[in-house]
Amino acid sequence: VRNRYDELEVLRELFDQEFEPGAHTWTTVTARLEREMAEECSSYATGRHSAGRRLRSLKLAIPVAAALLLLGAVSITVFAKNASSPHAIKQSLATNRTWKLAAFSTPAWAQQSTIGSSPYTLTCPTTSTCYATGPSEIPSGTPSSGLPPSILEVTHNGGTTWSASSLPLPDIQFTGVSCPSEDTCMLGGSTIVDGSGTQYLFTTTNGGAHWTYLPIPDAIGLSNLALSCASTSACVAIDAGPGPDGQGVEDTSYATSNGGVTWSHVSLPGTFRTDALQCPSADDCVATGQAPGAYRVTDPMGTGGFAGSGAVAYTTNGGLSWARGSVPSPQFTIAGLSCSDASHCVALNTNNLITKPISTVAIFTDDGGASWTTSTIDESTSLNLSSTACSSSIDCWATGDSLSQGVVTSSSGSSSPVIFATSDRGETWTSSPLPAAQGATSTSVGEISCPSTTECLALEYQNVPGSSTNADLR
Amino acid sequence: VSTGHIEQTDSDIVVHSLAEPERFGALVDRHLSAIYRYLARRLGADLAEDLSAEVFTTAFAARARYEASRADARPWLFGITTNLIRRHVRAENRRLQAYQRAQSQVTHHQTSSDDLVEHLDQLAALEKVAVAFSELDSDHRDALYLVAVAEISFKDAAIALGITLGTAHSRVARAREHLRDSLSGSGQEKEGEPRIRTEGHR
Repeated sequence: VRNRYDELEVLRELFDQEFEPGAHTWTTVTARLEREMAEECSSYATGRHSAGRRLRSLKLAIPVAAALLLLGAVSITVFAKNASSPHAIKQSLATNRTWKLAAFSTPAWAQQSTIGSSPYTLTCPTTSTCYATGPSEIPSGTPSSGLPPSILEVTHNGGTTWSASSLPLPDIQFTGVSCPSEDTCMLGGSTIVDGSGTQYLFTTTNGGAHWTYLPIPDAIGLSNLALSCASTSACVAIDAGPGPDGQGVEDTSYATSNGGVTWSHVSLPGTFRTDALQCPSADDCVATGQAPGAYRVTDPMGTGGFAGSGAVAYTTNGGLSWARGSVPSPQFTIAGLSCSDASHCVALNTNNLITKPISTVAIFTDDGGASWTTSTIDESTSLNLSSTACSSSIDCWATGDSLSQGVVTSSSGSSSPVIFATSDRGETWTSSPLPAAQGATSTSVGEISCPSTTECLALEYQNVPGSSTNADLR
Repeated sequence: VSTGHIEQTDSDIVVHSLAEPERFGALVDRHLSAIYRYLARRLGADLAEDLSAEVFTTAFAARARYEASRADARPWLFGITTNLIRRHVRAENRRLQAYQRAQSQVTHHQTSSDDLVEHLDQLAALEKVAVAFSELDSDHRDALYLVAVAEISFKDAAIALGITLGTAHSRVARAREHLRDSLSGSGQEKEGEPRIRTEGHR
């Protein structure tokens, strides 16, 4: 029997009654909600709710400044890296955006002498749990030009104490790490000390206490891995491989929806070298990096250079296909990516530090990476910013160094560590002075991570007189 | 610092409300109409007001668990609403039965016999669909309603119902098939397919 009517049309007609909430409904809903809010505040006042106490103190601390209310009570833990007494310092930005020493911790890797200026990574899936990676002490006999194996430190109390995670292999150098939840992380890396270059993927589901091997996707190279897991099952990895002309690099995207058991892969559009990858949802990822131009054989500093321009790629199907985003005036590279949700991201667009004074601007997208707009952070100084984090679509931070005008490279001239904050999606930025332990000097600020709107954590490097300082950290 | 013209996402509102609870009110401004309409159409205006308030107080209490990567809070709120509706499935069935009775007792004043036949056909179709819809279990009923009547995307419906996208597609397809069968008069369950039963039969 053929239907005369479409079942969905009939169903819609069945429910085709217009209802709108009247004034009484608005009043009822609002009153019930206000009562709920009052009960929550009441529980804060009686000390039953620690977050509530924070709320009360925050409200007392900020009498009228609506703009600062947007920032909330951002407490930032800064881990000081030095040879003898590294510090973790917490700071509240609630009152005046200045930083204060609030706590101390001693990450093991921060006590060890290192060479090179390998970037440390910091990822905080929650306000209490953070994973930090960095190079360990160089094993004796390792050539000085070699990079030491990585170690992974975990804190479950907001940075107060750290413990080293025991990895299945001792000599892994991490090239990618992503922790979508408090307990779950995926690590990519390769063995380096024995020179074999064997590649590994690991995962933990118990906060780093135990790690298990994952199968390596076919043809993946983990030497320049970008890894981002939107959930404990959905991850995307981007690996830099050789380009079609044998000279360039061509990144390949690998996607898994079962926690790394199986992977599918596609090439990114055009030749692309990824610096950063973020997957705020299982479907949506943004990758930033460089689209190579020509290779530079020599440059003013006498080092090899990779001449290209910043580029962005994005996917809306979990990495199965990618498109290139449109960036106004792309500079040398685009890094420091952070996405607060599937639509909103910020990245740092930095020019070629070999040939020009260093300059970093922020770029924002509100369509998942398809189009970007530029936000100037500070025109009065030369900025070399490397890390950014957003706690919402409009609240973001950027960290790095401010260099004296005219400085051509980061290895000359004077620099000072900076953290810039915006609470209006880059319309305005303000800088925050940084603290240092007594007698110490803050030399640089590295990775920043914002697991909530109220707390961010960042890495800070300090020099402490009387200890063996790390010149390479300047 | 100027923020007045910046359009905050729902996610921004929810996460900011953790420190400043009063900000949650903006979510009510945005979504009360849609939530109220959803409730009133399925359960009637009498229950809709009280349950609308319950939706937002439940959401407020659970806001710390909101997944901040989801800019649009509508699927989350529809999910809470759907869970509340499930507690009132009898009220919904009573409403559907009342509708069926009303259709069977309606007095017709059509101008021609053709119009009358057409009108009766339409009423019969509405009654059949009302019966078929009331026969769906909550899983299929919710999925079909969200996609077909509330007109939210399959992806958002999957989020609201806490199911995979494939399951959402499957439930809607099977629910549609049940309605289609009822309209065609077959009304027979196909061999090998799981039965779609009313809540009362479970």
